Amino acid sequence: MGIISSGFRGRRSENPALPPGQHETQDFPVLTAGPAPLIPIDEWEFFITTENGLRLSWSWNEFLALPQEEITKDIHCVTSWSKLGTVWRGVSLDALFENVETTSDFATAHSFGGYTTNVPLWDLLGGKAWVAWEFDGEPLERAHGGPARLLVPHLYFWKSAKWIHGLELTGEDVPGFWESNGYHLHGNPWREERYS
Amino acid sequence: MNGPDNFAVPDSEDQDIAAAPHDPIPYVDGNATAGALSEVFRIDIIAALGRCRHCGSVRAFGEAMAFTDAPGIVVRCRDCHGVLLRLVETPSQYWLDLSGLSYLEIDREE
Repeated sequence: MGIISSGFRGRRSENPALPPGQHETQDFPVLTAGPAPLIPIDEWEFFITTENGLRLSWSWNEFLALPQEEITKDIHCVTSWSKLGTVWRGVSLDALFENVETTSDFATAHSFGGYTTNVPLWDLLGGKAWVAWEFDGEPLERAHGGPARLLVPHLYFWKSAKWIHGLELTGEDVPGFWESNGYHLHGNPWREERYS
Repeated sequence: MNGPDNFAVPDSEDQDIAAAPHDPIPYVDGNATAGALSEVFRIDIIAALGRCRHCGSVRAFGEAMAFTDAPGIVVRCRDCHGVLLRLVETPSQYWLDLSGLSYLEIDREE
């Protein structure tokens, strides 16, 4: 059996922007573990919960009122395609965590639709991660995670959870949907952290 | 291939497996996973009846929804969209999760 990536194109390049084992694609393949949930914008929220019971949440309008950043980053899918120089708009997690006090080292990202993925907190803060709602100047398509998805471009793209609902901070690194069934807990493409 | 617009929308109150009308995500019938699953099952799982642990629906496995444009194969219940099976192939292992099936009923060969 081979898992076929619909985004596979071209041969291994010597492009230094490509992590080991990756190929560049000009497309934006849709890889998804299930149906795309339909999220009415007036029911959308983004939440953060902490180990001491704090729960912060933002409605769509509150989220849009936060400082917005334009982000240009390369993205790397574990199935071997990379897309270079993608342009997004969204809110830095540093802004969302401004009033969060926590001793937790890890987070579980929860998506509408039930998908989960685990990310260490130090990979989410310090200008490394966003909640993105625009791609290439257009509202993020539902197939790509709209209304909003997590964007953690320095890790394999399964960590950039589509249809993001919120982050649950945890004391331990709890494997998410793919991490509990063969994929690496961390997922750094430059170290080829593909499998567990 | 089933088009997204003939997607049967179940009446589910479970937001974790929420209905998705006009779903833009393509999927195929469970039958399409026969080749991949024949590498890990001696039995013909496609013809087997399986019970969904999430909603209790009993159907032929081949009728389920298979999402194959993903880091692994994800097979979901056609009635509630709950995950029935996950299969990930790594260079050295298969990872198989059957926890969404409370049983498989398999006809013995004559």
